[in-house]
Amino acid sequence: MKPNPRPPETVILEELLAGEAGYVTGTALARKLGVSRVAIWQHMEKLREQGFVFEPARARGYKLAARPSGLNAALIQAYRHGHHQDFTLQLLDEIDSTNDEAARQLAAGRVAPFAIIAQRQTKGRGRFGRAWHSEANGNLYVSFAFRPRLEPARMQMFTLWMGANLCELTANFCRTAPGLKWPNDLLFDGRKAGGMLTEARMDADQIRDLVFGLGLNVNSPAGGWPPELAGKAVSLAEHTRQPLDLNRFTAALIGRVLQAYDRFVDGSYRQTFADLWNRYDVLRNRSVAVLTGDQRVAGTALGIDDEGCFVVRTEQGRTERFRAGEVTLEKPPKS
Amino acid sequence: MKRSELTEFAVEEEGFKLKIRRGANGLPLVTSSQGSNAPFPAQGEAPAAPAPVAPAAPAAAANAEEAGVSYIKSPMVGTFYRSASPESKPYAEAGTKVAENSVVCIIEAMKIMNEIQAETKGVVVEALVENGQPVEYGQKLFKVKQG
Repeated sequence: MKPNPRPPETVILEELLAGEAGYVTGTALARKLGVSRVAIWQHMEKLREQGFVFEPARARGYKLAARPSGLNAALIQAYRHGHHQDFTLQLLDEIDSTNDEAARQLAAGRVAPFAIIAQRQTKGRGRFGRAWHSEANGNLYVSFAFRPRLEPARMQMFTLWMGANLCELTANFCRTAPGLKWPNDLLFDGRKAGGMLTEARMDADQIRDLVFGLGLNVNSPAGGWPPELAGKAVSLAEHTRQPLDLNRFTAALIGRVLQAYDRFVDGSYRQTFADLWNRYDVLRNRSVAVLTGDQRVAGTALGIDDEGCFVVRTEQGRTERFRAGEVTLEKPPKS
Repeated sequence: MKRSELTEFAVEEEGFKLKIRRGANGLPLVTSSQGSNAPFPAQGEAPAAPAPVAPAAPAAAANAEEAGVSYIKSPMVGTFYRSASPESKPYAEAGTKVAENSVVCIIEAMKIMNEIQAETKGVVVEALVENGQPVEYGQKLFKVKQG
């Protein structure tokens, strides 16, 4: 089954948004969609149930007077104009994990690219099944599904590239950018604002499908964290002291992720990746420790190499590269 | 061969490939691409001991493919994980039946968690890599008895 990327509700909202200052008549909407005015009225009724308010005026049609503040799939798609007309979006009230749901739908044959967004995850997770706090609190839990058909070796930089793009998007949208902590965390002042988890399934020598998952703390209020996360987690709104328009932000995020994905697949990301990463890398020149298995290496972070490995100059002056591992920032010794 | 530093020597002629390499025990092993693929001791230096078939020694086993046995190899450089989380059961261990699309492990490269499928049908004989260890491209991960 292929869900329609441009359902009637989305088209109606697009028309109303395009004519935001003025009005759009029911006749014009009916003509646009090729359906009757009764059908338009029914679609608008569905939108009213979701929290939209339409202000009618005699002979002028309708005006969009209010929009839901919570996540709304039709509104996100209406805000999201431009490329990837084949992209579909599904918004769920609750799911175990958006990554797992995306993987299940890929396995069932759903056409990619698509995204799954959940208001709440019951088993939101990061690496190794570690829990990701996923309450319905104005934050974003989204997974993008792709079928890249690339060789696995080509995927080395994927998560890093996506992270750098998310930083730039946030910088453009909020006038402040989180930092990147290699390889998959987004931080404000050492507190976690987001995390990424990319999971892929392989055929013999190709990636069959890939899910890019993102947990991003957008609008959760300060002080709204459970005790174990207090002081460790932060939301964009908390940092900028201003709630974000979640639907507009999500639309921008989808646009950015799809564009970044295209640039990754065609290889053109290489031209800008290093600059982008270095701009947001928070570990560079800091004292760090890297844990891999039982081994712990302390030193100074030098950045990443051209394979995306984390490079550290050890206290003994050696240069070491890490493909995987946990990085912790060392506090400078008090003198 | 033993007097020289030579560790490997190969001759190819009219489709017949002969490869001699020094085994893990210092004895040369000969493999040929015709007939039996099992390594046998080189003529003329016949050791008292039977032919060393040492699956634990990668140098000796590299060319030895036993009948009905295949290996699941790593398609990438990364870190090998036998289970989805430290608390969960390994995807595959000795005795696990696998089909082509069975997930046998996860290899992490740059925080992409890649589910690796068996690509073959059979029973896992042995897991060849420890959990959390780095793996190279083409490295053998599991030995599988086909069937």
